[in-house]
Parts: sequence; C-alpha cells; structure tokens
Amino acid sequence: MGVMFEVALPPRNITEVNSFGRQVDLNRFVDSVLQTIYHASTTSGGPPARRKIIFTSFYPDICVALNWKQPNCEPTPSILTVPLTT
Amino acid sequence: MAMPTRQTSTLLVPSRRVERSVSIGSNQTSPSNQSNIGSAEHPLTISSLRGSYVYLVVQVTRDFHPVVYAEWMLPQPGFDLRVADVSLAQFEALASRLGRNFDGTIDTSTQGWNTSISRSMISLVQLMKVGQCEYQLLRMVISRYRFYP
Repeated sequence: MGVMFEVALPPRNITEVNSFGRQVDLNRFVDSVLQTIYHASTTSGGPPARRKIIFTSFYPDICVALNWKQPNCEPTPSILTVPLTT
Repeated sequence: MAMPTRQTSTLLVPSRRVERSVSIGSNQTSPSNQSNIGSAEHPLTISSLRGSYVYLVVQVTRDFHPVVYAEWMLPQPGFDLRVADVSLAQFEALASRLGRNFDGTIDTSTQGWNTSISRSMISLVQLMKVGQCEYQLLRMVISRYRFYP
C-alpha cells in the first residue's frame, strides 16, 4: 500500500476573494513537506516498509517546485509528481 | 477531487473531499498504453506504481510544520481560520479539544488507514512515525504542464 500526498495550497483566486491575509511561502512549504518525509524515512528504525509515495497537487507551481527540488535532496531518490485537474 | 460544496463558514471556500483510496490498475499501467501518454485519461503509465494508495492532503501550519488535514478551514466555530493561520501547537490543541487527535492505533489495510486518518488532525511527522513510511520514489515527472489552462 502506497501513500499519495496531495500538497494543498489555496489557489490564488480563493485567497484573494476571501481576503486571506497570509500567503504561504511556496518554497518553504515544499521544503517542509519534503524534509519531513525524508527525515522520517532516514531515521526510522526497523526493516523498511518500502512504501510508494506519490506527490500530487492542483497547484502548478508546487509540482514544479517538487520536481526542481528533488536533485538537491539527500539521499537522492526521485519524486513522482502527478499534476491534478479540477 | 476537490468539489465545491456549501460551507457553514461565512466565507465561500470550496470544500475539499478526501478520496477514500486511489487504485492504479494494470489497464493504466500497461506498456501497451504508451500511445496514451499525454492524454488526461491515463496520466499514470508506470507499471511499478500499480497498487492501492492512501490519499492524504498535506497543508502547512504558520510555523511551517506539515499537517494532514483535508479542509481549507479549521473546524473552529465563529472564526475563519486556515491551517496556515495557526501554529502546530495550536493545531494539535484544537485537534485534542475536538477529539480529533490521532490515537495511535491504526489498521494496516488501506481502508483502515483511510478510516483512521480521514477524521484525524495529525502532523505529518506523527503520521510518518506511525506509518513508518519508508518509500521508494521514482525518477519520473509526468507532464507537469498538462494541467495549465
């Protein structure tokens, strides 16, 4: 059984229409998600479960960021980024 | 996967519905479907991805801790708060107050994961500890610009 993470960020139109004050920094958002998963996978003890993880997002820039950041991550597995459509 | 529905909040924010599970079958992953690469009907064509997946929505708190929570707005009556408006401590306190904190018990089946996680307000760190999500990731990005209008 794998895990499919939808990395969710409110679309800009929703943010503007509803006057949400805080706009989440996309770069730090993606970094925090990736670092959490990488850290958990490298520090967990016991036999590896070998779960498959897929990242998806409705937000185009997040897909791009997930793709761009993967070569800079250590260890260097790659990320499957699947864009979603509404 | 995110369908607009009516909200009790005063803001018109589309609700987010959590998919129970995502199954990637052989009809989507067969090499014979190579001609479908680039079409929206068969976005996944990698046979090694075949299997059942638990679908989780990840957002980030104000202090940049990722949490698993599917709705845009927090279930806090009288206030229009997003996950990004609160810190992780506040998020976990709210989950505890609402009885939606993760109890640590989890069924290892896909349905068990979905049942346990769908109502929970849980940090991604805690979830990864519970699930021991060791993983294999594949060097593939599929048509990242396909969904641009």
